[in-house]
Amino acid sequence: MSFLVIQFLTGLSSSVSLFLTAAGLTVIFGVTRVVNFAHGSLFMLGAYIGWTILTRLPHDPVWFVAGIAATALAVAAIGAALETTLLRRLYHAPELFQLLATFGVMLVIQDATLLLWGPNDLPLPRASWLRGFVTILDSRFPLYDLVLIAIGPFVLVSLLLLLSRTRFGMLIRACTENRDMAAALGIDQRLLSTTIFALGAGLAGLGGALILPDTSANTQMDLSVIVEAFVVVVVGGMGSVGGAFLASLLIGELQAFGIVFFPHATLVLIFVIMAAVLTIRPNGLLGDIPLTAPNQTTRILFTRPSPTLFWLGGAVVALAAATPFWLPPYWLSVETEVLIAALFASGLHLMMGPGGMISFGHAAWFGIGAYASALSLKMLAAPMPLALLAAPVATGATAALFGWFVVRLSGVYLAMLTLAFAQIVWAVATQWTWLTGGDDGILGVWPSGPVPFFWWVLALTAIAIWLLQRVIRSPYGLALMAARDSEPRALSIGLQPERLRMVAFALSGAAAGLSGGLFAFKTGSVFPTYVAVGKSVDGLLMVLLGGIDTAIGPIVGAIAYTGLYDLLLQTVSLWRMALGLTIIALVLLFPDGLAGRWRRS
Amino acid sequence: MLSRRTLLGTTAVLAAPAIVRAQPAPIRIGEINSYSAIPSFTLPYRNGWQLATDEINARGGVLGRKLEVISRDDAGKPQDTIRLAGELLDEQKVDILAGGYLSNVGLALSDFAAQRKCLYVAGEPLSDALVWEKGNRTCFRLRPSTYMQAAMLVEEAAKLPAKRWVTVAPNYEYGLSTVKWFKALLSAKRPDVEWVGEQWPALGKIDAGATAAALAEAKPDAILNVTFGPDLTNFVRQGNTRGLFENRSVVSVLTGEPEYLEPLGDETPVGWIVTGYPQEQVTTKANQAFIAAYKARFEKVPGMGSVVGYTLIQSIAAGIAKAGALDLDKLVDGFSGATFDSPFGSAAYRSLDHQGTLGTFVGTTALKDGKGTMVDWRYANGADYLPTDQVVKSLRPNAG
Amino acid sequence: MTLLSVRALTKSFGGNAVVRGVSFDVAAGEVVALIGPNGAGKTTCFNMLNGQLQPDAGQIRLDGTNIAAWSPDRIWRLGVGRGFQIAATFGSMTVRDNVRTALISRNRTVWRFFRPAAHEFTREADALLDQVGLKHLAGQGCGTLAYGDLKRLELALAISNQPRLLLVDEPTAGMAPPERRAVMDLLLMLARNNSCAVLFTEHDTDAVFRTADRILVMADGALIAEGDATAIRANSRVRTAYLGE
Repeated sequence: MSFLVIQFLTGLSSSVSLFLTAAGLTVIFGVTRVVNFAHGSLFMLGAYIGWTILTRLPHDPVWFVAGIAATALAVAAIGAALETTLLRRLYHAPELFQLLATFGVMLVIQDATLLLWGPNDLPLPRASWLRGFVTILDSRFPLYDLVLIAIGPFVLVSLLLLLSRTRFGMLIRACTENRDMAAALGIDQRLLSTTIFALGAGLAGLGGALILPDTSANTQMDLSVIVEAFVVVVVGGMGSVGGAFLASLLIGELQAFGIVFFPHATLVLIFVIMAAVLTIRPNGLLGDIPLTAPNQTTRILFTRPSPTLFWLGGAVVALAAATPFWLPPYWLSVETEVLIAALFASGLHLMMGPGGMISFGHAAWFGIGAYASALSLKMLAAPMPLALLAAPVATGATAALFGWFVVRLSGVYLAMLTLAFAQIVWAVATQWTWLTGGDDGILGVWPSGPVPFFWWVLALTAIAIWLLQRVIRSPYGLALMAARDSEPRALSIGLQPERLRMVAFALSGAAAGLSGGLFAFKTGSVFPTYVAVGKSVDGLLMVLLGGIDTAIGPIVGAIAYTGLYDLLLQTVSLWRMALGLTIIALVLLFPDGLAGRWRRS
Repeated sequence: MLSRRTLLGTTAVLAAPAIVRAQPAPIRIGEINSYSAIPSFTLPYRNGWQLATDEINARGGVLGRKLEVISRDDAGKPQDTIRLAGELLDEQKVDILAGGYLSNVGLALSDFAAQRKCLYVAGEPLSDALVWEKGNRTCFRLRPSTYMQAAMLVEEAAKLPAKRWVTVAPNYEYGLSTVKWFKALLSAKRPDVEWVGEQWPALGKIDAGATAAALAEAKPDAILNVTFGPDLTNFVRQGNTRGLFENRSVVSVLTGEPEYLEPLGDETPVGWIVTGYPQEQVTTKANQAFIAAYKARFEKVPGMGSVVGYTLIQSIAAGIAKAGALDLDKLVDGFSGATFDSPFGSAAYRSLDHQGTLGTFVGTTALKDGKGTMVDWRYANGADYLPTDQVVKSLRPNAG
Repeated sequence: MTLLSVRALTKSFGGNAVVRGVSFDVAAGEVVALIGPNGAGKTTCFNMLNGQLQPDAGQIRLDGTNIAAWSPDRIWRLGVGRGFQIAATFGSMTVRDNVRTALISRNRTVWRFFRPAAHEFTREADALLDQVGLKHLAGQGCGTLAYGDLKRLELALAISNQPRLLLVDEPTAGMAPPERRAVMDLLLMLARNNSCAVLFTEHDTDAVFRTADRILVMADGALIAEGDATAIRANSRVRTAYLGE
């Protein structure tokens, strides 16, 4: 009994920091519709700035509160600066570009933090009152955790009052519910956006600073918190502060009790819950804004197959086929990776461009394909061509099944469900050790030699990309775009949007699966990192950098991104900052993507 | 900013024909590690290998040639490791591959090196598989493996009166493997021991309060801890406040290493049995000389990572010197049984399984001037904590 | 001959009855207007008729077949075309590709993945566009069209399946008077040429009285009157509903 009470209280206290961070994310999203990938970085800055301030202050509670408040204000100022200098320039760009920019910001902040505070974990020395405890039913419970438990509802009530009782809150709600109407009523959205970004950032900073008495400030906390904050926001319902509170409580308790009953399955638990909630309540627990996919359908995708492009593509493939004769081995291996990336991005593009569905979890299909190939080689002793065939077949089937469940969702919710699925696949790959080898992965998946393998890759990716291009321009592709452009109209001319999207899911998944299979042989191994969030983000970056409105965009994007990444990783020690700045610059200079820019001019 | 290594490499090549025509080309070592992903360990590690490289070159290098280390950051992703290893081999024409921190990166490099017929020397990766199940002819590993670390700690743990044990370990290969060996070895020595609970927090995501409460609920006499880094800080703080460690023995892997001990500060729990590195307390000549040289250059006390980086390059130099040439067969023969100096004293690569006999320090934690430190430590020589040759052979099916 | 026969159609949203027991008939080739104040339940009725909403109760018979709760694509295949209050077209495509998509759906060639769509039904698409007077804009992007032209395009989409019944929600909403008249006339001409019945809602009473063979009046989810223009003008319940008299 006492254990259950303690565990319950622990769950409550551990949900607070998550709630603050997620509340910031959700209000920012509600008003600006920006999916702020850098929110985890703001949380991390909260921890580091909080450490810097608090270590210099006297160690009594009053100064602690003052230090925490100062930290929140400092991070709020950083948020406001971010909004005015960068995001403001992007509100007219397609919505996903803001995501791209905030991803760049995240990379920059990672390296900036390393430069400013150094590589070591920074623990805040705990004052004696922070080490205090109370005895509850014969068990000791940290006093500070009780303080946290009180802070959660306090912030919730303050935010709700702010939203319901003040003019500022009224404006926020007006913008959350209907941006166009708010704009029509003459609300100064620029000022409101800046303020709301500051508020959201301040909350993240507060969340980051408040964990200091428990854990040290470290350079990995941005990524680990952002994914959980996304989960909370989506489970709670995007834009809903109350929903974020409920969802963070749910996740806090789930972890507190989950570790008792499923100590091995901690990774997968919250994503399973997220998938379950979204399947039952597609808008989240308290979400009432049905969110549609960002509308980026103002430009025309050519449906006419262009003979020029076909012959150009053919010439490029012919030239590429000759490269093994003169290109040094390493550059051949880079070329192989670029080809594989181009296929991955092309598959994702089918789903995101013509299909109008965003995927934050495309790494799932890449990973399943890689494991399918590696396992058929290792367990069934299949020869390479057969193992490569297994990849798209296994992924296509899984993706079709998954798509069948999720196609009725749209927009960010769909994206989040894809993320949840990818995380589940990742957890399975990590924890189902006898099949997947766990973290150690599957090794020894080597092809016969790099040059023949290059030709395999070239042939398969060229054919697959060509087929995808045909699909986009086929009757099916037209119908898929129709379902994206206007679902009611598509329905009333006899199309079946859900089935169209499911097939897009399967095709996109199969393409990603084949690229995963090829990559397994390219690297000679498969690891759970193939399914990690970073891989999904890579895909998004390639598609968005290339330009979502053109069919060759993903190919251009894959070449640009892979080339940039390889180059920076090898030559620049602050490669994350360089990559982040490059992404931000590209987003500002080419809001239609690289290929989009080229086409317009 | 170009990395210093690349820059040095480029200028050397450009300048080569005019100035150093007479000098033979340097021996190139391709080094890969997760610099941006795990900076707290890998940056002291980089300092370590830079120090060793310069010392060796100042003595005239190996086989009359200088050593040149070309370093890459894999960002913690094994797939990037493989690509960079390819770049090092094909573009930079390195003679030997070295490095790694995470076990999976080490295993990936080992497999790649075997495929490309190149020697790979692992520094930090602790996975047993690296020299046993997935061990191969071309891979050598410096540090004591999870098995060895577990064996060193079991020796002490078996002396404890504790019967009811719980474990807490990060839920990945390193944690799983350490817990597996610790349980097996301790149960073998002490059949009366009971295992009454286990916690497997995800790496970097420990819910420390809940974990501490769940461990306490099992009413254990002793705890095996395998968490490290931020997870460890969090766990120790919650455990301290909640009284988890009071009247209980705790055995903890790697916690005595400065990289992990330092963040605990004045909350370092007293009396934990740990493996680690007591830095300046070790008064052997080798260690004092190492610390002096390191401090002179970097104005910091070296960490465990520094020792690993330093010794890695020393061991490679010794291996090459013994091989006398750089072709693979000679190198494998040369490294097998090669002895090398380390701040911890002399060690060797066993020819049986290519495992290094470098040891580590076993002691208990204590507080001194508000900082964590190790006391009552002793050096545990790696050679003493390995299974019998017979067992090792059966564990290492694929390698000659 | 009765083409559409609706009986006791009912729908509520969260306990709020929006359509309450509506019954009416539409004969083949007849032009029927469904009018009523805002919120009377007209659009909800339409959405049930073409399958985008499932009725809670009631029957919808098309040529004797009960199509209540069928999926939109099946209803469309039986010959029911639809026009929306705010023109719904495929904004990223050319005008021709809009119509082409409808023809692809009609001819069941949606599940072809390889053959270029550009080779499908170009002539038929242009013929349809000719009927609505948009042939000269066939290659233009949909996003560049004037609103009246979008409405025309929508009509082309609605008749692409040679429907027996057209459901058109406010065909002239959002247009200037001369354009309204032109679109209305086009709608009637298309219906006549394709011998197709029309059920439409409209706020422009002039247009309603000028064009409809018969008028249905809804208020508060129920049908309150039915008859020709003269009868409706004289109906006291209609006057009450509209004018509050």
